[in-house]
Formats: sequence, C-alpha cells, structure tokens
Amino acid sequence: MKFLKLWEKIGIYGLTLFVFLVCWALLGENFVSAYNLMNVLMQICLVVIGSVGIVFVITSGLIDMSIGSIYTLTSIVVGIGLTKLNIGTVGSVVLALLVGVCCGLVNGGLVVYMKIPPFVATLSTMLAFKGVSYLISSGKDIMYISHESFKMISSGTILGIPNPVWIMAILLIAGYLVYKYTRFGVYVRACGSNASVTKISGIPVKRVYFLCYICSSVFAVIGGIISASRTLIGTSTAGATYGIDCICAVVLGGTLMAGGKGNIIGMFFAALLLGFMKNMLNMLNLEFYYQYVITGFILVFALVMGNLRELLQARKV
Amino acid sequence: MQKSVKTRSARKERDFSIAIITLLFMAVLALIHPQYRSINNYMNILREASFVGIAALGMLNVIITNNTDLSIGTMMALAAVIMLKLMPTVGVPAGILICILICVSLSLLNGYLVVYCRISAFILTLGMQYAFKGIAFIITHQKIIAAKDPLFTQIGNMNLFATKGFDGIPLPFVIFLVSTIISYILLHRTGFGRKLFAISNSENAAYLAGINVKLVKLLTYGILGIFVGIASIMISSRLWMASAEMRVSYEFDVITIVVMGGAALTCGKGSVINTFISSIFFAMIYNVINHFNVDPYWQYILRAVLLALSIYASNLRVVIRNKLDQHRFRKEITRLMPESGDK
Repeated sequence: MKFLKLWEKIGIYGLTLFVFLVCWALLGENFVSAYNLMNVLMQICLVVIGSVGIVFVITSGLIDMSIGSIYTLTSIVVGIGLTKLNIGTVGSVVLALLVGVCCGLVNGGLVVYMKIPPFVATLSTMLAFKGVSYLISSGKDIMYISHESFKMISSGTILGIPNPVWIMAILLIAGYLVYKYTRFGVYVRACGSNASVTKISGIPVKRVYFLCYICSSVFAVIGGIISASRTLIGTSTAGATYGIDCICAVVLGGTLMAGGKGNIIGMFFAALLLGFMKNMLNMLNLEFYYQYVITGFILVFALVMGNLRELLQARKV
Repeated sequence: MQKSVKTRSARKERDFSIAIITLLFMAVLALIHPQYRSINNYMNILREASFVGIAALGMLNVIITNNTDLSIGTMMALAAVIMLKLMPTVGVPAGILICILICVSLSLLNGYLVVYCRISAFILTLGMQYAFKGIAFIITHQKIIAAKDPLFTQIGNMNLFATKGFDGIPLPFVIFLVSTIISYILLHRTGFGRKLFAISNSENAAYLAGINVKLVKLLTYGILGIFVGIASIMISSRLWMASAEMRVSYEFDVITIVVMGGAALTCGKGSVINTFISSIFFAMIYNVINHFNVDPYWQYILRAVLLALSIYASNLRVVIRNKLDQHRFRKEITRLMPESGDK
C-alpha cells in the first residue's frame, strides 16, 4: 500500500525522469542538446493541447474518442478555407474553430439528448467525421505551401521560443486555473463523482456535458491548426494516433477513467514521457509502427496502475 | 379471489423488429432491381454476412455481460498474419489450430484484465487494438502475406451443392450456420446462457445466487476468441492473403450488428437468431452500396448513423416498454383495489 500511495503522488514524475535518464544513457549528447529538447517540446505540444480538453471530458465522467478525426478534419477545413474559399489565415482559423464547436455540439447532442453511451457515441462520430473529411476533400490532399502568414503560426518565434510552445503553455496554465479555481471546474468534478446527485443539487449537468465536449473538440482543432501550419498539407490520413495518444497521456497522468479526479500537471509529464519515447524511437531509426505497440502497452500499464489500489483494497475487505 | 398481476417478467419477450425490417428491405430491393431477385446474389450476401456474423455471435455473449471488445479487428489481422507466416512450415491443420489458439489466448488476456483487474473494457481493448496492430506491422513490415496453399484458400471460396444456374451454398455460410446453432443452444438452452442473462440483469444478485460471475465473464471472452479465430481463417482464405490492415473497423461492424440485433449495450437482452438476421441485413446494406456505386466515403458516415440510430431505437424501446408496463400495472391495481376494499 505504501508503494501505491507513493506511486499516486510522484509516480508519473519519477517515471518521466527515469525515461529521460534512460534516453540520455542510450542516445548520449544528441538527446540532451537544447535543439533536441526543444524539438521534443514542439512534438508534444499537439498532444498536450488536445489532452487539456480530454482531461475535462474524462473528469466529468464522459469520454471523447472523436478528437483524432476532428484533428484530421481541421487540416482539411483549413486547406479549403485557404485555397478554395480564399478567406485568409484569420478567416480559415475562425472557420476551423466553428467546425470544432459544431463537432462538440454533435457529440454532446448524441450523449445528452439521444442518451447513447458516451464511448459508442463518440466512436461513431469518429467514423462520421473521418467520412466528412474524406467527402469534402474527395479523398485528395490539399496543399497550401504558399501561405506565409498561416505558416507563421508554427514557425514564428517570440523571445526565441517557438509559437506552438507559447500556445501550449498558455492553454495548459489556463486549463489548470479553470480546472482548479473556477465554478466550471468544480461542476466538472461534481458531475464525474456522481452525476445524479449533482443534477439534484441544481447544477446544469447537461450544459456541463455540452461545454466539456465543445471544449475537447475546440482544443483538438487548435492542435490540428498548429499541425496543419507545420505540415502545410491537408490530408485525410493525418492524426491516426492523435486520439489514443491524448487519452494515453491523460490516463497515465493520473486522471481517473471513472471520473471525478483529473490531473493536468501529471498529464503534461505523461505527454513528456511519451514524447521522449517517440523521440528515442526516431533517433534509433525504428519504424512508426513500434509507436503503436509502445503506446498501446503504456496505456494498458497506466490503466492497471490506476486501478491497482482499488483492487488491493477490495481484496482486503 | 387473488388475481395475478401480469408483469414484464411473466411475458415471454419476442422481438421481431429486425426480421421485419430485413424482409421489408428485401421486398423493396426485389421490386427495384432484378439482381435482387436472383438467388446467386443472395448467396453472395450470405457469404459476406458470415465473415462478420460469426464474430458477432461471440460478441453477443460479451455484450450481454455488459462488456465489450474493440480489439477483435486487429486481433483477427494479427492471428491471420502469424498463421500465414507459419503455414508453409507447419501445414494447414496446424496453422488453423495456431490461429484459433492465438485468438483465444489474446482474448483471454483481455478478459483477465477486464474482469479480474476491473479495467474499463472499452479503453483497455482500445489500447490492445493499437498494440496488436503494431505487432502485426512488425511481423509483416507493412507487406502483404499471400496464402499459397490451395487447400487453405478453399475454406473461404468453396461452394457446396452447385448446380447449373445455381452457384451453390458458400462454405463460410455453412460454418456460420453451424456456429449459430451451437451458440443458440449455448445461450438459450443451457445453464451457462441463463447465467449470462442473470449477470446482465443484476451482477450482485447473480453473485449472491452463487454464480461465479468473474469466471463466466472470462469464459465469454474465451468463446469470443474462438469465433474471432474462425473468422480470421475464413477472411484470410477468402482474400488469399493477410496484412496488418485487413478489414479496417471490423470491430465496429461487429458491434453494430449485435446492437442492431436488439442487444442493448447497458441492460441484458439479446438473442442469437436476431444477431443472425441482423448480420444478413448488414451484409445486404453493403451489397446495395456497392451495387449502386455509392461513393465509398459515405460508408464511414453510414456506419456511424446506423450504430447511433440502432442504439437510439433500443433506448426508445426500453422507455416505451417501461411506460406501457407502468400504465398496465396502474390499471391492474385500480381494478384490484376495490375488491380488496370490500374485504
């Protein structure tokens, strides 16, 4: 039991440090160079931004599987905005955010009004949004290399630090503050602990659910915009593992799947851990599909660790 | 004097909705197009139905006990890849045995983690889905493995009782039919099936009645593994190959079939016959899509809408039935009350 208490407190930070040291030992100076560490930060910022929304969703007792497809859809919508509609950078970004809000509303509507279990509802919208992105792009890639101002979103720097890292830091801190200190944060935790009691207490549970879903899809859209401005191509196959990466980071970071308890700082460290792992795989020249295995098994490990304490307590009784 | 109050548990429930929908669909198609009046096209549909339907039979048991498994699609691909990789050295029968053993052991691993470690089935099997896919990629290096043994490829492609003008009954469908009969006996005619329904109605009550709830749940995963193994053999032999990305979103189709067949995802209902019919209905929809040249990208949206609608319908059915029961109960009470007042 002592070990488990220790794990709950500092487990993820210790594990991240451990993985960091292992990578350092395996890869040497190349890994700890400032350039590479900034590279890792740039890589994880997409997952971290998406995960902020997922923390809210899982804490309120729901789940959102569709963010991977929303991320994909974003790259297509931005491409259409820039090339076909010619509404400029600001217009395309606003359009993408609006699409994100709509996706959130669809998810929320399915769960709240049609009473479909959250997992199945968002799993089916995952397919549906993917289908929409195939349909509006007719399966083709959309290139927008020439749009300099859109490119600046990811390639520009402020005070020597790249824009995506700033965006990630701002959203992470904002998410932390909202979760910890606002009424919405308390509502979210209350819904996750016991939805029916929360409803009886007069808290608008339905509105909280809707807001959570809108929140998660808008964050996924922001991640998608940053990734689109880096790759400058809209393709329907992007972001195949985005959803599972985000959920993996959130669960490993100490957020309970059952709801009621979230951990945004832990999520950041878990994302860092996954980022180190991916970086190591890249530097060892291993194929992309090793990531599938590692992500899958890390997720299973995180789930087992999250449940272990409860399990042991149940066995004692 | 005492009159019995008829409640829901006393009535025997029969659900014909999916059968009626399928028959209507068939009738409309037959009116529209001559292809849907030929028996050979229906034989094709039956063959396609058996590839997903057989896994749906196993998934039905798992869903009845309020669990699920999202990893079966990639599990099937992984087993097929390993089987075809080993088949040149070990031969066909041993290869088939290995395939089924792999599926059963992976499925039991899922089951163990879900049942004994109490991990949410959805998220666990999602993680496993990626792990299996990655392992299959590592084995194949993103290449396709061809099935060369003619004996093996007969399993998915052979037709029985073929005559002139009639293509014959596909062997996969015969396997599917036999599995359906076995599943029917298992679920509706044995103690094991009764235990499943007891668990799905109330796990605590089942536990207090002396049922080994965890073992039964684990066994449902084992049975699912057997069926996925058979599906894996049939599909890879039909396609003459295996790859890490064969039958994308297979698990999704299987779950849709089970839900369309009337098994609610949260409370315990379900019947083997309805699952059988709904798998044929599902294959028919795909046949129609292909026949009328619908843009394949619509399939994604269609799948999503189909699943969402069928769950919504099953929710609605429960709500309406509860309302009717309440109404009937109140009527009976008001009818009985004056009599008890006389005494």
